[in-house]
Amino acid sequence: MDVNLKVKANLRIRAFYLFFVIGSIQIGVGVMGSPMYVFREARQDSWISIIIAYIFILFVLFVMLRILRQYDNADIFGIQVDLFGKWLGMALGTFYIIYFFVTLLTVLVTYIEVIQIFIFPEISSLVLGVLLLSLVIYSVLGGIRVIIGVVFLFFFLAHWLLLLLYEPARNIELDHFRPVLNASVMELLKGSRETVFTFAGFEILFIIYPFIQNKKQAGRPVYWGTTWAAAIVFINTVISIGYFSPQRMEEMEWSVLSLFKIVKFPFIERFDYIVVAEWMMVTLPNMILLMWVITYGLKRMYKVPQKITLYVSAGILFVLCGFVTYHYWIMNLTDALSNIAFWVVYIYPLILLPLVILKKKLRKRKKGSDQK
Amino acid sequence: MKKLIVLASIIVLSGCVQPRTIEDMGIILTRGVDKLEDNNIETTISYFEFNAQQKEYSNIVTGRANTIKQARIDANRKTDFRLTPGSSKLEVYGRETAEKGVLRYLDTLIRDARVSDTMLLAISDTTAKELLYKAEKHADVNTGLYLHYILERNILNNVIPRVNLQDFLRFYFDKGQDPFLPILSISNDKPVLSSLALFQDDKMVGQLPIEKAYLIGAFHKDLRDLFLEVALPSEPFKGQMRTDAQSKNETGIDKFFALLTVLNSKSKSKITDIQKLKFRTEVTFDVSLMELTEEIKLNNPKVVRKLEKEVEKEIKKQYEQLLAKLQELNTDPLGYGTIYRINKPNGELKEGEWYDYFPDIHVDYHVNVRIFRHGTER
Repeated sequence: MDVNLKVKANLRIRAFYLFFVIGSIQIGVGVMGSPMYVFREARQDSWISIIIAYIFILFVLFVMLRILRQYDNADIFGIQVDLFGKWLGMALGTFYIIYFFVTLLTVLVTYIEVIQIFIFPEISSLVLGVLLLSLVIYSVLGGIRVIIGVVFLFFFLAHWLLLLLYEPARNIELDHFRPVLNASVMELLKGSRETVFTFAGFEILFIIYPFIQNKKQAGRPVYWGTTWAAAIVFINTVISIGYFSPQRMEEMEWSVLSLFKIVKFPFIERFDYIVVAEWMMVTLPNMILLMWVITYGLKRMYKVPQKITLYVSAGILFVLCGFVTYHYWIMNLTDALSNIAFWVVYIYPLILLPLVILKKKLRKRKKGSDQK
Repeated sequence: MKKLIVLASIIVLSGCVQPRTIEDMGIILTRGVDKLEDNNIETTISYFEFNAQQKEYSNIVTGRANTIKQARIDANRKTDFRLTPGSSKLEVYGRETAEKGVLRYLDTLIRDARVSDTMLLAISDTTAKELLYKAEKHADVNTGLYLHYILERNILNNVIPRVNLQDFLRFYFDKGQDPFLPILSISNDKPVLSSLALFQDDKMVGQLPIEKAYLIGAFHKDLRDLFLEVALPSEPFKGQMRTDAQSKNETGIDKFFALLTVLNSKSKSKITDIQKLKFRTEVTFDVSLMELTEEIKLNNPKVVRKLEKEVEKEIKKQYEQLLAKLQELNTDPLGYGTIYRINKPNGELKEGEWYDYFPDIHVDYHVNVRIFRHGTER
């Protein structure tokens, strides 16, 4: 396996689209329920926790870009092989792919559960699984450029939902935020830790980076993308805390979706139905990007054609989504994933950076000594 | 070919969702809940049916069971429509039911994602069943929504503060704040909005006449377009009265009435002494004078000022009486507990803790009334 890869010119994308990739993948199913988890730790100061998490993510992204810039055109799979040798590198790469696969499964089952709770209680998970997965397969078959196109379009199709938050925002009780700074530093950090699942997804930068045409300009769209995502989570959390009583916040799953229950128009009585359906526009880019990462990663490491892995993993997901139906299973899955994500997404790059720099220095020295 | 299969499966699979034909649905508009003596629940459901032939669009059924949902299923045995709660507009609790606590009935509304948060809640002075049947009999059109419209109209006019499901839950769950709900009673065989029910936790403990409901309303919202009738003493205005003393003697009361339109109101409460539980509340009403039962010459700014003073005194008196009553019932719909909570060092109140303090609080009311206009007459 080559460390650096050559991407054909017609498969490259402009750095500008990274904004939509990062912004979309960070906002997924997590945001629907995240205020509750953060609130349990940091209470009315949850908004500070989110800011802390955001700053940390900016730092991690900065580190990730530094790592990637040490190479000409490498992704995480290549870097790991370069650093740890073939066997360990491949094993870590495979682990990465399994991680993405579990993330995809979580997104899928969570969204299916939300549909079952809010709209169709009696519909089978398998039916929804087939419908969603067929859309995912259809988009991934189109290749990276189609995927980026879908992400770009769905970004605009989904984000108008924010305007609907006007109605709950009008009904917030500012007293719910007082007294400010009541939480201890430890509680604030614990609150930030709870956002891991919500904010995870930006690790896709490690894989999509070689496809970028103008790499020098990659930094700005990445940072803005994550800023956008953090702003949305921040707004949703603030409105949820103001809108719901503290006691209800602690017990409230899908608090963000419940915010829309008060939105009402003369022509549509219950807007929350529309919102749940519309949320597909939020989750679908997520699933498509994750599926692409899985198939692409397997092709890169094991040279399996993408079509085969696409159909196989869709098949496995389809079967699994029929099994993972109990609410507490989904919760456990999410918890386990967020624990793994914390190490894989937030901590691992920080360990990787010194290793990459060390390796580069060693290589230079070696080259220098060879020339002598 | 492949695309065809995908397309075909998408079309066919959508059939897996259970179809719900609108003609088969009974859309629940209003539901009444009463607790029976044998601890069963009786629900009275007023629902809307789509039927081109019939003139009557809504219908009413009752059902009994141990749980609310089961009572609905029980009611469903009496109609060929499938009763669905998705568009429920109003839930009415019987008085006795409310006195025993309503949270138990709200639980199903919170849990069910398909119930709207904008649904209004109300208390029936008798049983919810009786009220719903009376409404059904009395109203000509939209019988299922008749009660809802009564409430909505009065909320719009700021006669009563808005309490929908979400508001009620917030008042209930926010510590240091108690909920309140409108009471609908039957007078002359017609349903009327009569008073405001006051709650301690989720139990109804007392009521407030509807004319005083604005006092609570002003704490939760800036009131606009509210008509306000105040009784004022005639004594200070003796010199400015146009009518001769004769007519006053006829009435025999040393009082006259003024009707004011509230253009805007503002209220602000703060704690002045946390140890002694002293509060200060400032309420401002910007009003326009619409009617006076005595003719008073208002050409002098001093007279207007005097009138403002008297109205202020009257509203202040009303607030003090209200507080005394609330303290006696030990319920705090004005939310002084919240102000206490946010000023405490750790910002937390224990369950029921505020009820130990509330009867002992002192509130200093400052009412400002500004009469901006007084119609075309001077």
